Amino acid sequence: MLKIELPQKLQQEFERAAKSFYSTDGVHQALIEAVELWLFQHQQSKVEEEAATNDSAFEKLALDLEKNYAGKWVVIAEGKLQGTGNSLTEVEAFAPNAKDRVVMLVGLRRPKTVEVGWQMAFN
Amino acid sequence: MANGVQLICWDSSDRFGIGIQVTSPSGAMHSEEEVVQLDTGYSEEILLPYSLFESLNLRRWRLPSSISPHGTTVTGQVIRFIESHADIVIPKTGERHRVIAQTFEGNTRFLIGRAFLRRLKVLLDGVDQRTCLLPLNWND
Repeated sequence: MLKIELPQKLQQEFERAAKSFYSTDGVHQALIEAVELWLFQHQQSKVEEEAATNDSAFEKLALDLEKNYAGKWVVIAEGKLQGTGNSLTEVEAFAPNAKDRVVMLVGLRRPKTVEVGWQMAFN
Repeated sequence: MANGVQLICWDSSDRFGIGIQVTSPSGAMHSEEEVVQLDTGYSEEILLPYSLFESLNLRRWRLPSSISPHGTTVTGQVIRFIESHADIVIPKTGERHRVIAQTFEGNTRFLIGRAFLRRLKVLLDGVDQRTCLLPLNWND
């Protein structure tokens, strides 16, 4: 059992909002959702940090990869080159605990822009 | 069967679409076949809802941000795409296609674009309200 004391004003506002939103057991339900949301956001920010580290490592390694690993699949995770292979299957096992990995066939080129038509928009 | 051609079809009363499942290269699978809208205004292969991209752990198969493209919406907003390797399965035919899947933060759209349509022969049957796949060796 976890017990915490909230600042009085915050507690009053929270209880009022939770009770008005949920018909019964509002405070309990809202607290669970608040904790879930915090955990999700915390996890997301960690993954984004991991992604930024991997992108930065890719930039530093890009020339070396082009020179030495053309046509190979490479995996960058935890900020470093984890390994290379001849197929996606061969590189699957690298960095098993990483939430974010850069995985690419060296030499792959992507278009600079995408036509998004009329449907796509920020939601 | 139409004129001796075996068609594989999905009901398309409102929007034209085909039934697919998306999987990660490691096999994590989108739970069931979903009819996904065809959008010829979108130039790439497949756009995934952000939540699906995350739930399939596609960040473990991500392309570097610096080579991933951007798009501009009709309202002028710039979209920075997150891309990863993925597979599209068409359960009714058993086909599996390796693709580059795209998403962006907050996206809820699920669309198949022109780059993927180039791999298929598709019949948009407005009269009978269905979308069908034709055999690849079919020629009229």
